[in-house]
Amino acid sequence: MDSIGADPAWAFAAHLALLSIVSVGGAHAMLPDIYRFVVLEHGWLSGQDFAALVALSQAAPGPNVLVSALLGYQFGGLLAAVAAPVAFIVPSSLATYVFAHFDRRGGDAPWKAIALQGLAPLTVGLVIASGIVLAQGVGAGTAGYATAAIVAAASAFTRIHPLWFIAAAALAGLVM
Amino acid sequence: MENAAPALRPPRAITCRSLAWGFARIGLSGIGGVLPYAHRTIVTEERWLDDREFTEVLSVAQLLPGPNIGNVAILVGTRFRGAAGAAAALGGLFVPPLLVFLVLAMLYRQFAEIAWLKRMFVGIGAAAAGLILGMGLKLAVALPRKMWAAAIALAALGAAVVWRIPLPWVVLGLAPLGILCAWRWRG
Repeated sequence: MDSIGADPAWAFAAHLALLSIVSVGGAHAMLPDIYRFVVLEHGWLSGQDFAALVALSQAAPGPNVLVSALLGYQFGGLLAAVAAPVAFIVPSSLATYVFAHFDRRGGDAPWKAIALQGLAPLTVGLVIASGIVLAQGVGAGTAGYATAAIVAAASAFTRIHPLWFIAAAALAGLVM
Repeated sequence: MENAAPALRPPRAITCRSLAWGFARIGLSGIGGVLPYAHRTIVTEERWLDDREFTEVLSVAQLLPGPNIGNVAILVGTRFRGAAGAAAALGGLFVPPLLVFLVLAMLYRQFAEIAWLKRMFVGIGAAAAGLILGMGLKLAVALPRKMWAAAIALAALGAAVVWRIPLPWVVLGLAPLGILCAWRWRG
């Protein structure tokens, strides 16, 4: 995929277009691979910036895939900020449109339930991986991992609004 | 849902404009995920779909590649207005929040090097990691209590965190395997 060119904007968009076709479980399940590509392979962003931008995308209104615009802008400017989400959305959307065109009435089918069950564990593994990779990226040692673990437990088992966790962690960051 | 009268149809015609406007409201409303707002707009407010239809559309959206909410937009748009409806719904969903995100991206680039902001962002980043982990835990609790499900979840986790295998290989390997297991040990 790297042969597309040296320009980070296009290379990033091409990578997202590839992920778009195989994406399961939403944008968060894609984050470990995006991290691998952007931070580890190319060094376009630090792990800390990557985690901060994911956080910013969670605190802002909008679908999760738009995190690609936040990331892309930092190393590829406005071009990447627009090309990245477009590349992330268009290939899968064409596939969905073709499906929708032939399945206008929708309806239940047993194969849908089985396929959903079969994909669920993959999604779970990738989403948990995403949390771990981000916590590693933050690079704040024990304090960072502890914050992540507390927020994970509290958000999974209480109904406190996510923004409270983000606000509390921002204050905690000042003294970290 | 059984006793709901079948003819609770939308109060007004479903046009490309109303699709774009409805999905723009969904796109701009979600913090930490837009799906709950999608249900409110599509079922409760606009009455484009009833509860059962919404659940069906959502399950198909989850099966197909791509962002779930984007797929909902395409499925709903296509059902009522064909390709133009899909484009209108998708545009409404993504373009307005993208403008917000562009502004945020510029602000981050401008100010992220300020020392105290940088420290705050370290904390916020850790919280984001925690929120995503928490979502993963909730999803894990809902998994079927089967050995194959645990094995596939762990394999995906190891592939992404430990072995750093490119995602297309992980999905091409584990998605068919998972579906095969779900079919073999169904019920």
